[in-house]
Amino acid sequence: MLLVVAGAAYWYLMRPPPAPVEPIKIGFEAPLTGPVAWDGMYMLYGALLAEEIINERGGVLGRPIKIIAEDDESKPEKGAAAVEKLITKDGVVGIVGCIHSSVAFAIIPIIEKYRVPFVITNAWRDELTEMHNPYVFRITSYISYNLGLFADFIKWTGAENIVCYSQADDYSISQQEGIIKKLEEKGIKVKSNMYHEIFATDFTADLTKIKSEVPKVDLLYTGTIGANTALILKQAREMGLKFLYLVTYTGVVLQPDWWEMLGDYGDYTVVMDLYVPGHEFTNLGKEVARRHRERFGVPATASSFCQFDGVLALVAAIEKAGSTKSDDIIKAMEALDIEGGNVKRIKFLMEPTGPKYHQVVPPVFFWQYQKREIKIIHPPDLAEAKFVWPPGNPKA
Amino acid sequence: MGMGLNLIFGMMSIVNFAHGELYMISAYIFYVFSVFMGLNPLLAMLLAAAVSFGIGVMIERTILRPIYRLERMDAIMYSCYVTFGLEPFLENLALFLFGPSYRAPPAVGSGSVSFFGIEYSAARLAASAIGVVVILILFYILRKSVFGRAVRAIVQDRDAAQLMGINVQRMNMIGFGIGIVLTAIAGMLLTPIFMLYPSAGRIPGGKAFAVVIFGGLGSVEGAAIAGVLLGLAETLGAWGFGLGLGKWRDVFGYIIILIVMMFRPKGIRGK
Repeated sequence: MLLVVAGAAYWYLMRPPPAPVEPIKIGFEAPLTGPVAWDGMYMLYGALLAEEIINERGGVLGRPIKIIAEDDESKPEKGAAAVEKLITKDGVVGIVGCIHSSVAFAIIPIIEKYRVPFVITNAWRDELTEMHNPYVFRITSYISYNLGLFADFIKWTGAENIVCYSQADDYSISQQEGIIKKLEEKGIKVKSNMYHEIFATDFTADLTKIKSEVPKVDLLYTGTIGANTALILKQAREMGLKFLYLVTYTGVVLQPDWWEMLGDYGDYTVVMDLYVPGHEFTNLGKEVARRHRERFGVPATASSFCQFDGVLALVAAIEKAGSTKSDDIIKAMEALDIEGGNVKRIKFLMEPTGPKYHQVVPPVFFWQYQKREIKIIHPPDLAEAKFVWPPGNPKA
Repeated sequence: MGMGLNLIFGMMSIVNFAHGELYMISAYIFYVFSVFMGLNPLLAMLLAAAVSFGIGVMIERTILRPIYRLERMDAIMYSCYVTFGLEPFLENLALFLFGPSYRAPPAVGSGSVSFFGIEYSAARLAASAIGVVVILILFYILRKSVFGRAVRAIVQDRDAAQLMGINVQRMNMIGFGIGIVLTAIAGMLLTPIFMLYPSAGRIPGGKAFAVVIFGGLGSVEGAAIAGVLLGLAETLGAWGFGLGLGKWRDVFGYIIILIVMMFRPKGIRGK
């Protein structure tokens, strides 16, 4: 008897450990180097936080998830290569990420070839969902949605001498052209419509032209994202330009680096944003905001939240489908209705035509730095402070 | 930067593809001294220049030493391979140490200065002035000093210089270090204006090569002249007489280079 017990104990103690559970891999791709690396890094933070929170809650289908990240360097060919590698070498079940629409267009044939769902969290061209590709989903804004908001806001400010100046890429050109058209519909004519090369760092030639405009420019809209958003403003202010700077959301504006780069030049900037710190709509959102600051030492941005919600949606769809098979995930994504981190409800629109297909739109705000503090100024029902023209502005 | 690159090529027949990355690394060293350690920016610049010289010497003594055993063409090819590899190594080292965020090292001069109603960036004016002073000092050293004579002798004929008693290897080491210091000065003056990030050296590095070819391989004076001409061509072209052709800035510079090269294929001061 003793021998039996001893033998059983020996077997129990000496048995091989259980094989580790293979995680479900989710691919992430965004620019992690280059002028837009800030936004890419914040997206990565959102993805890593989603991985952490989801795994704490037991993962999905009894398995943890693992985020595998790749850098597209803001280049379409690099994005396509990164996604091909994620799918074929790393075996990811879905791709979540992407900032540049041009990169997204390069990725779509790859995900189509391998039939892998792709959740876009930061690229805004309408066509990305308008093409009604069954594998493509989006949890962020899109251009035609923004156009009306921008045009309404610009008209609301009372600006009369407007210049539009953005980086020359797919998204920025589409958005800028669209805003100009919407403004013309509202009877507002834009003085100049200009673009700069995406990797440019010296804007003085174009700013000299802007400075020569008569009457003086009172508002400059830019669709430029990343560090160049700060560079344009710095070089403009050094030339004595005092326009109101209207920016499309980009992580750099919320960083301490913004003030390191610009000093007081950064004040009075107005940002169209999808998230404002301190304005979370769900308990999950509040948790994400708190943990983002604790884990990464910086506040979350819209990029972090859109990415978080993207991973959350994909994982929830896997759970709902009970499978990692692509077609099952897609069916589950289309039927999803869950609470998000930034978005109150992640429920994909399924309109038969137009860009509202496989599309979730986060809330949109306009906020302004006033004495270096963030104040929501629009829409009026959420406004915390009145809008202020920068000192020295023709309208001030 | 072009002058530094040409000094290195003229003395050592080394094509330094990592020149732009050394511009960036030197700027990060300046950033560490001035921002992390809180030193006075001018003191930080001097220290960063000294460290950059040391980095140049270290690179020459380790990675580049084998070129002295090689024939000229083999030496050039070897330097291409090695510095081509150094380029991504330095960029990724900076990415690893400092992350992808853009940094703003302190500028010499802040805000703007008004002359006759036109506002200029104080940092740009200071960078231009310091750049001119550095060029003049370098010209003086090359023309008037014993060291400068030795450099010119090596550029003319390395073997003959060695026969005349010049310690070519030691001069090469110092020359490489000085070349890196020149690029470091450019980095410390320009990154406060255009920002500092791991790939900040790519565009200036490319421009330095354009300046070298435009000015004439191995000609430090040619590089100085070419640098000014290239800058003027780009700026005037981008201004476009008020048309705002900023996105075509680089095109104007290369058009000028092509035109000059058609008539002087060896560059402005190339032999």
